[in-house]
Amino acid sequence: MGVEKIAFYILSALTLGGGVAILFSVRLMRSVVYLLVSLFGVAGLFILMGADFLAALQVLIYVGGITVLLVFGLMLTGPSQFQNQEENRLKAITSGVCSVAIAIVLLLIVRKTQWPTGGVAASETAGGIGRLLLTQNVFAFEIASVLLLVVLVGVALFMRLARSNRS
Amino acid sequence: MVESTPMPDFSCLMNGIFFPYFIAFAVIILFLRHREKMAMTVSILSSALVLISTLLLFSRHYALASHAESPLSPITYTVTWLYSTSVQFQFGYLVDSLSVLMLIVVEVVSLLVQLYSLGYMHGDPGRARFYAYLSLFSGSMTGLVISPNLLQTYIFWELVGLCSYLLIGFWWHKPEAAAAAKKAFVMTRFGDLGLFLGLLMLLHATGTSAFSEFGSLGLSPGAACGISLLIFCGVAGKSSQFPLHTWLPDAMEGPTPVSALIHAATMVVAGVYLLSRTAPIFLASSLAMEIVLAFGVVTAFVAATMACIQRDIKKVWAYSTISQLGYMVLAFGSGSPQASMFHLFTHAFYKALLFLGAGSFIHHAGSNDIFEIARKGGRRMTITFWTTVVGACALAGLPPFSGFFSKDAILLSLKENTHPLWYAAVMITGFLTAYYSFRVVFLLGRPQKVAHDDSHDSHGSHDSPPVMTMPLLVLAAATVLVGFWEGGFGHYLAGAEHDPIHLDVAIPATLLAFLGIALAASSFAFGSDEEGVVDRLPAMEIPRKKYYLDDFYFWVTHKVVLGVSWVCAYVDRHFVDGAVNGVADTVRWAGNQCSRLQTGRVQQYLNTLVLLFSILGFTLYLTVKF
Amino acid sequence: MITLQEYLTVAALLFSLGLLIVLFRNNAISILMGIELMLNAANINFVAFSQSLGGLAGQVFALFVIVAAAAEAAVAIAIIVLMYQNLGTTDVEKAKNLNG
Repeated sequence: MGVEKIAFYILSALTLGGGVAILFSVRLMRSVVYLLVSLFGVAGLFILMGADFLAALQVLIYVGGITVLLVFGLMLTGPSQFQNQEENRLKAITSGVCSVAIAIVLLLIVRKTQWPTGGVAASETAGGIGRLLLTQNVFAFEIASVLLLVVLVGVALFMRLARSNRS
Repeated sequence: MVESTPMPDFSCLMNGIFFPYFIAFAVIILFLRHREKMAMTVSILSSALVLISTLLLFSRHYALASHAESPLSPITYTVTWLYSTSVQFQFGYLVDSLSVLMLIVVEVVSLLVQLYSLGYMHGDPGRARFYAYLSLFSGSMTGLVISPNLLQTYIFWELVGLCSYLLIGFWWHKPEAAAAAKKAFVMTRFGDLGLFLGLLMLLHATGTSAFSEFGSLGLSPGAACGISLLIFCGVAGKSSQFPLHTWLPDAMEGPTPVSALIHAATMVVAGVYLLSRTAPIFLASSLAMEIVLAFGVVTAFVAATMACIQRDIKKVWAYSTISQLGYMVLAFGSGSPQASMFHLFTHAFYKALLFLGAGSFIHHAGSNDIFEIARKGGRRMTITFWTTVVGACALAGLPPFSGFFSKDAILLSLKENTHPLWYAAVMITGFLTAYYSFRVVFLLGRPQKVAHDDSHDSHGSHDSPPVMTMPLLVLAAATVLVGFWEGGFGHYLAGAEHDPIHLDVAIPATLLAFLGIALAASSFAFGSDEEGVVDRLPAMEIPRKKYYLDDFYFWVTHKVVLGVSWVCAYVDRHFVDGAVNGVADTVRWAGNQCSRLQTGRVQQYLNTLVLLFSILGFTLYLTVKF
Repeated sequence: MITLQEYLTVAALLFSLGLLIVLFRNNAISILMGIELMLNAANINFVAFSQSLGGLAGQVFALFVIVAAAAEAAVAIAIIVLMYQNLGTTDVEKAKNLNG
């Protein structure tokens, strides 16, 4: 068992363990931290797969952006919401059954499919991605920028609504 | 110049007769509804223009006829309106002596009534509307008179019916007036249905509805009988023959000038005019003529009995109009359309006179009740009272008034052509006519006990303004003079030679008339009784109840029609509605049940979705080859 | 060497875990975290396929997913804040005005 394999198992354990911790943690602020752990695990997996640029982005955007956003969201909703309420048993059973069912289906398919192999991983990711973004995928790139602009304006509008509600 | 040309062109004159009224109507309705003076001026000017055109037409046509050796053939001016492979409809004018004579009646009375209305309707807020309707009516009546085929006649026939409806209900805020308008419309429609079926049958049988071709239709007696009886249905509705007459007395709810114009002189005689127009079809079937005669006699007699007991002066003249219309119809049924038309001609003038006189009394007294009018000093309205006496004399058939001549012609025709029973019935009707007309005269003219009270506080003339009395004087003059024209009338209309007065008919008729006057005088002229000998007869209970016809119609509409409707409504409500509502209720119930699934909890929705997707994925896993 | 199937297995488990959080938790912010986990599972798949097939198309796709996830998170947080102001809670069980 090589170093790569050990690293993979550790990172997978981090990722999935973070997810399980989110599921069972009662305090929301803590579950944000667990999410952080899980996302770091994913970033590690990216590096393991040779996607170093994406791993960097993952850390920047998810860790630096989205988790901070979640913390802000928590702060804006007030202390009564910091803790998860007691869930009822029926809901636990139904959601568990559904999730397990979809997990089994996914794993069965993953196991059974003959996946193609033999591709050559690109050596220079950042430059390649940049070239692709500005040549082949330039339209999607522009659409993404428009999406971000719309989200910016939309969220600003929401917040104005929120302020007028309060007053 | 006119005489020398064989066929002078009247089309320009006809345009001048046909269009002004419609133009006046449109102008008033569109632009002058709030300018009453302008509206009245426009209406009266158009009426005068039409009358002048009519008189010109008459003088030229009369000269033409008097110089011709044989009777003039009708002149038509038409354009093709509807065209199909089997039927053609023309629209246009028909000029012959019949239409010209009828035009004179319509236009003279129209103009006089419009002038009279200046006084009668003074201060009424709806005067512009009133004059618009009058114009529309006169125009429609003119179109009816000059139409060259039955279809055009039918169109204008309905238009005059509409105007009658509008004018009876002119004071629509009175519930009686609104009800009377509705009744008139419905009952005449009832007859018009027959007329329309007759028109369709005629088109089916012959393919034409032009009057000029009626002489050579070659119908079988059976078809002629069917068509003519259907046409007579329309006539009975419009000319209010028994048993469809009950709308006419109710129609007196309208303004009195309207009663004079529409419900005495012109529209109601349109039926008689149509009889004369379609005479060839009727003459082809002796059975149809018998039936027409019978209806005419029954109408004349029944209406006369009802006229004897009315307290309302307009109702007296209304029943008298029905009775006189019966005279015209029975004259036609006895085989003498000329006598029928001549009676129409004389009756139009004296009945318009009587109605306008009644309007003058009502305008003065503010009441329709004869006794009330007499109490308010009706006898001192000199012009109105004496012109009414002239009209009553003509109505009673006293020589030398016009009614005498026309009734003489009718009685002569009856005596010569029909069963003596009919003759006797009409003689008795003549007696009743004299009685009821002079009953009104004596009730109005006898001295009043309380007359002293109001003789002090009212000064000068009690009579209506000159604009109202002038038409009365004109009509009174016409009433006196028209009778002497009988010879010329007959010659102009039919080319027949003048019949001298037949004393064997005239003397008994006149004696009976004087007997009726004597009875009226003995009952009413001297005392202050409200009831005469006739009123106390037990048999008069039947006319007092209007021969139970209104009750019968009421019973039919309320019991039979409503009973059938009730059954239909029950079936509809409980079976048809039950099925429909049952379907709707089922759907609503199912919807309510389904909406329970809609909990509003997004996680449940997603749960269901995921479950379904996992099932779908599992089936894919089992079925798809990897 | 780590096979593609191993990455896909991790991604499938992560996805199911995220789904379980979304279905089970009441709090809207917890649900948002679950959604982020599911998106990350998808990203792992993309990158794994990109590696095994060669080329960078999968990585570019993953990049767009990250962008979309960021936008979605921003809007979602705004909605959650509004919901808290209107209903006084972020419990999705209580936000059921659309029930039948």
